[in-house]
Amino acid sequence: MNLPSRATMLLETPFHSRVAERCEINDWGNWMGYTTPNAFFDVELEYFSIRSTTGVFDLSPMNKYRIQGPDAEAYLNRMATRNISKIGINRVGYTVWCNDAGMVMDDGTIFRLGESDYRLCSYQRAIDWLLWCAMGFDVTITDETEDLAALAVQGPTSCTSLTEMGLTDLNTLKPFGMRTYDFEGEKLMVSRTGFTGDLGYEVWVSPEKAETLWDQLFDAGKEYLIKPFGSYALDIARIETGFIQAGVDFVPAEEMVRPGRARSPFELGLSWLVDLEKPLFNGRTALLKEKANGSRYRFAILNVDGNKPAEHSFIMKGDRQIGTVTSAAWCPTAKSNIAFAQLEMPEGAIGSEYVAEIYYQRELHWTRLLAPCKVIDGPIFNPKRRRKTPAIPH
Amino acid sequence: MRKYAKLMKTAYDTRPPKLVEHDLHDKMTFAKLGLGMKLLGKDDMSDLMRLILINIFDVMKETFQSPKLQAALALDAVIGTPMGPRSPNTVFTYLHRFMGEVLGFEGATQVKGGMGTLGVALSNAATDLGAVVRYDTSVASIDKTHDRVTGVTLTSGEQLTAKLIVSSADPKTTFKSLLGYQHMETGLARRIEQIRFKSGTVKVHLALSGLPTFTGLDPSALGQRLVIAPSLNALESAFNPLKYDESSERPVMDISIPTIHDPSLAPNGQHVLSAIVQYAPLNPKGGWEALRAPFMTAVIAELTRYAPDIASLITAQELLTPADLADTFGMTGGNWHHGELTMDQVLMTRPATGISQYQTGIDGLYLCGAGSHPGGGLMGLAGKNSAQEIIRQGELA
Repeated sequence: MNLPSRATMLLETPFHSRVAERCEINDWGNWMGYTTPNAFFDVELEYFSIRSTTGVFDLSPMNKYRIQGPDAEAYLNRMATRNISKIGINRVGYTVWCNDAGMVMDDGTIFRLGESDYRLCSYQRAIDWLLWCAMGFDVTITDETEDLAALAVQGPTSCTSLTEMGLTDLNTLKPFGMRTYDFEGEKLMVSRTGFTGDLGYEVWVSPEKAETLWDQLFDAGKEYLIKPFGSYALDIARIETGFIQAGVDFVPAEEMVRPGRARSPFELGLSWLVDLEKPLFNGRTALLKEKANGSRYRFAILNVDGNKPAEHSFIMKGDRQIGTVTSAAWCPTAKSNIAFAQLEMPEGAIGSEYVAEIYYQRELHWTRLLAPCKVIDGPIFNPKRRRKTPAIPH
Repeated sequence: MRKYAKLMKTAYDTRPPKLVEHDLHDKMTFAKLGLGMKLLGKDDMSDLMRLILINIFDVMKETFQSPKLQAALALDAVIGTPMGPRSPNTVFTYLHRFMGEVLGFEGATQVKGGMGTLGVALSNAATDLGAVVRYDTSVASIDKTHDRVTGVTLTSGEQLTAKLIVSSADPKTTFKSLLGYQHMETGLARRIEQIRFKSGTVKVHLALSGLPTFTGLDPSALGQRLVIAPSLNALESAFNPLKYDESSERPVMDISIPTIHDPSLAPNGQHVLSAIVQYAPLNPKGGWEALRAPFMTAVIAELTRYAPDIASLITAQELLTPADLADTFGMTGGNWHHGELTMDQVLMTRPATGISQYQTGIDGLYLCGAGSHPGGGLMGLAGKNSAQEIIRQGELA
């Protein structure tokens, strides 16, 4: 979402007519070639729909790839760092994938639709890499990006809103589970996943049913204060809950221009996604070496004093610059000023204290603010309702 | 050209240096190359920089006046390649062909008893040193666990265990067919897959009841290389169809009659003519079954223009297409260099970046064939350099 605007024609998502109708302030951005709202009416109110009621986000531009065939599991195990064999049918797993140098190319979710049938959702366009990875495997890879429309339905009343729409017993769906419902003569898939760190779901239908889904959902959620939200509100929510974003918090490895700018999963705080016990996966040799020799950087979540977001700040230890901030936001629910930083090793241990050197401009006048900050242990916002099954009713 | 080829020998004689992460040995190679460049002198050095990326057509045009001489020399630059005289890289391939002279072979050279005896001689030498050579045996797969090779499985199903495997098969055969892309990381598989293996070369063998008469050629010269390449434009015209997977209407060729030097190759008084013919594709439109007879006819027709009696002397004929060469000798694409010999596929990028020093990124597996630096051409240098590298690695290998 932090992409530079390019003078290219943007596509419309299957929800465009409804999204445009709701986009009161007409603030649009370019998300992977699609025109999507940065904000609908008020970023803060949109954000609070995620945390207090139900927020709806048009997820359709997300890249979706179907991976099918006898070797699908082996294929994904070679491509991704995680042990894919542990993802059961009708379950979803978050993972990253690396190049041979052990540098993260992208992150995404893998949906296991059947025994040898998976769907991969990625931030980056990935079809060429997925096809290169397919050499030697009996798999077929299909780009389904345009074949599926999707809405993220997030927030404490999201389960109730969706149940009201007709998704019976949705509250029994476990986090990272998925389920199929009949919807208008077609199949609707719902997964308990999201990018907000709250109770929430993602709903997947054919593009033809997109507008119907939107209308029915907003009707059903009316009593539960359902609201659409744009990418700015999502950004606050994901920072509050500790989710990194490709292209913002790391440079996708195969897009890197300057040597050394890519990051390994260890350097992004994602070592829990790396299964070095697997005999082979892209980047394994390099990651084994990194594990033995040590990483160059450490991902840290910083709690910054004050309420000025530490965007693009330097992180200082005394006079020495030891890192930079990649994402930052004032997080309203946690009432904290949070920043993600890349710190040079060995800095960044939990509890370490540094100073964020924040620069900001007021009427052409640049101001420097030195805000003390502290490395915290995990995300600041992590409510019980996110994991609770059955989901708490409202 | 000879000076440049001598300089190239400096790099050919050892493993290709790494650009980054180079050790002392690599630094020495760079130093020798640098010194060699310096010793060329300013004019020759800048001329090499100019020449190396242009094409043999331009070099011939600026150097010689005789169209026949231009074409005869230019044929050396394109033989065994899918390139025409105007293609970039052809000065480099010309220098590569020159290597034979630098290494001390001048004029027509052939192996006594035929090329097969070279293999037999090497095999005998290995056996004398205690090696066991198994004939009529094909490897079905190279086996590995995690990052290390463990042995090979033969097509018979028999498994042989080994700590060290050295493959003289071309890199694509080694990595794709024997190891399997699914058993390595994607980046490596991609780099192997991207290696260019095109060919435009056909081999023709004719059994002749007697020596043919080439118009205007003294019979005493029949033991030399005979070249049919009337002009640079004739070469380029012969090349043009290859771009569209079609074959030359008027092929060009490099002919030898080995029975003149080694009569044992044919029954008494009879002869064998061997020709390297350019250009025909690996997969012609319509397939080789449809093209085989017409292309052979075109070759004989072209020979007949120069040796009018040749058709009446033919007792047997054989046409080895790029597809035949690929199938019979396991050379991907029928390319006799085990990967095109072009500026992007030499030194530290041969066979591919990251696997240039005969190592493969997979412990215990080494390459030693023409697909590795410095390429093919019966020099044996890839094998020698590879062996030295394995010895240098010692226990690590």
